[in-house]
Amino acid sequence: MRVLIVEDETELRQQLHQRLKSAGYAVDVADNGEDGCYLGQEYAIDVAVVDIGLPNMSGIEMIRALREAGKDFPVLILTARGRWQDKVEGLESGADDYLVKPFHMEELEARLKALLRRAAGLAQPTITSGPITLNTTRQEVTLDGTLLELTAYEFKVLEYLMLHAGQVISKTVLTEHIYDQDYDRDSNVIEVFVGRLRRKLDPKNQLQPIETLRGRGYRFNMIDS
Amino acid sequence: MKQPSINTRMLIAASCILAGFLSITGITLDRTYRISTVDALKERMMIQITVLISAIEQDEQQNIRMLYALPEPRFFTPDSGLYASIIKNNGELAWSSPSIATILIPPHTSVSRGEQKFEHIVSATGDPLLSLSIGLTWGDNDTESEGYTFVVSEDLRRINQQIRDFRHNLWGSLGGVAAVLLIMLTLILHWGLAPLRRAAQEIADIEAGKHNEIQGEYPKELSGLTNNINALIRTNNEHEARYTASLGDLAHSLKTPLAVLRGAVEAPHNSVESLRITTEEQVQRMDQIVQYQLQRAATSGRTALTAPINPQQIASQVFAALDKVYADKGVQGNLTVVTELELHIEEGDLMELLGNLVDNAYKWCQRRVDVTLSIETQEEVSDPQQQRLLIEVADDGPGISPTFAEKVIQRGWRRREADAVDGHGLGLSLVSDIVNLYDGELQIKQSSLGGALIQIYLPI
Repeated sequence: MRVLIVEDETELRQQLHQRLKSAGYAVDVADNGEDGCYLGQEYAIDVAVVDIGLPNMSGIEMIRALREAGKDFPVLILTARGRWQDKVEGLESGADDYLVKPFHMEELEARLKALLRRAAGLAQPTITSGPITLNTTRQEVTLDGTLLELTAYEFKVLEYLMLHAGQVISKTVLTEHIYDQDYDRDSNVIEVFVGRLRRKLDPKNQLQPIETLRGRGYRFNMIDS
Repeated sequence: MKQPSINTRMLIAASCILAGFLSITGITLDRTYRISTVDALKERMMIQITVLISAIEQDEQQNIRMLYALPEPRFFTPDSGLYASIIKNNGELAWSSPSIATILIPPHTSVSRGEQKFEHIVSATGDPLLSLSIGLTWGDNDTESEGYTFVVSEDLRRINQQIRDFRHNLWGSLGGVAAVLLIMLTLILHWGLAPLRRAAQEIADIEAGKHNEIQGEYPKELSGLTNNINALIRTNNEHEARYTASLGDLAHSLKTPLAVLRGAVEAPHNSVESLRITTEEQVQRMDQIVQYQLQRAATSGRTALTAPINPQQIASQVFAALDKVYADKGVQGNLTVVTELELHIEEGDLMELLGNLVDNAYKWCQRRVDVTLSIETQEEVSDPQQQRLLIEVADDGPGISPTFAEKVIQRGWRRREADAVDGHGLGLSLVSDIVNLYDGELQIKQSSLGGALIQIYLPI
């Protein structure tokens, strides 16, 4: 999942960057509204964390601009002002949730997960497809109740495919959503990840949860239990 | 550029209007008098010429003779100013009045039969004269050359003097009237603007620290302004007091956690883990203090100039915001407006109040939150003028037992189960502060949905 962080305070921006990167997100950062707006429109962002009190273009203006540009990824606003008037203004501009500074990083991560789940139309932190269960909060995948050992990138690929189950996802889209902007992108790596995932999820080749659509990409097909 | 005073503006405007009005009046009167005087003169001359014509007869030798003496004595007094002459059309003077003694009247051109004309002429000595000439013949078949021209001339010096006298008197009295009116206007302005001057003086006194507010009685046109200034001063003082108190409280209450932190850092045998726990606790505490004190200071409170706002709209905005935040929970929020009315309350305060109440309800409910806006029922209040707005927020959560009703509005108090729910325990305490600021009332009850019912009464 690709997250955009827009925060002008350097220390906090770095803390958020580190924290979310180690939580498995591909992270893009901006220290002002204009750059945030540019990144939000140019990159395949899944969720954004935006500080309201940015210099020049405020967070609220930035969210409004993104929404007007047709970007509908969920946005979590960070505000130092705890007044309801500010919260309501932020939410009315197009944000989906708010956190008042100072906040706990765990709280921020939980809110981001919830927003991503909500954006994918899920009410629970777990997605189950037949014997396969993916827990977005604990970042775990079980097969028939047995915990599978997945690498961080394998998990990211599977999480993205399962959150967009039934949709055809191209290798480019997958690359964009799991890698940082400055990462060397090689779409062959995706094929390797998908191959490994297939072996781990379906060792007997009976379920075939990840379908390859030649020249178009991959599709995760939900299995009725 | 310096703005002219109201007094000067009024005087300039009144002077202009007065000057215009009196000039038009003067010019009209002067013109009318002149015209009517000249008309009267012409009429008199007409009568005199008619009398002259009827007193003259022509004999067979075609000589003219006077049948009887003219009744106007001025024809017989030398240089009287009234002159008559009869001139044959061949230029021969047939008769002239004895009043033409020394004066030389220029010879008249003859006038054809039946014609009459007035003309302004000047005598040989330069005196202005008005003359009336009428052409006449005795027989029906007389030729033009056999006719006579009857001339009556009147000296205009007397009439002109009369008009000059009138003009002098007229402008003199109009000038007098203007002066009297302007003096009266100045006095009226002085009297009329006295309350404004008094108010300005009182405000200057307030600035100088002599008084706290505007004290005098003012006419009703000004009392709205002076009352509002007083209300603004009072609100300002209240705000200042609240800011000062909040800052004082803030500084005071932040020092304790800071002292704890310093102590923990300076303690020689403190482990990193215990330092982390202490820091976390004290940061939490300071966050709570800062949030509460700042929000309390930010509460505006009632002012005389607060524009009325629609609570229904604010409630809808709060619902829309919370529906987003609690989208996962699938809360069924209902807003019922029994009576639609506007309230004099600062928008931010009402949003803070409703935001905290409805947020609490969303946090604790199972599925349902009902917000009702209505007017206090007639039975509850004796004077209908004193009726208040009633905001009710009900949920189907665990509710608040009467034992805790007092405690929940205290700052930082949270129920034990609340550890699983995000929050600081500030919401109801802030709501209570806002309600008190607006002289309202807060009641905590059991709702019919099974959870808590918070009732807020606010004066309209």
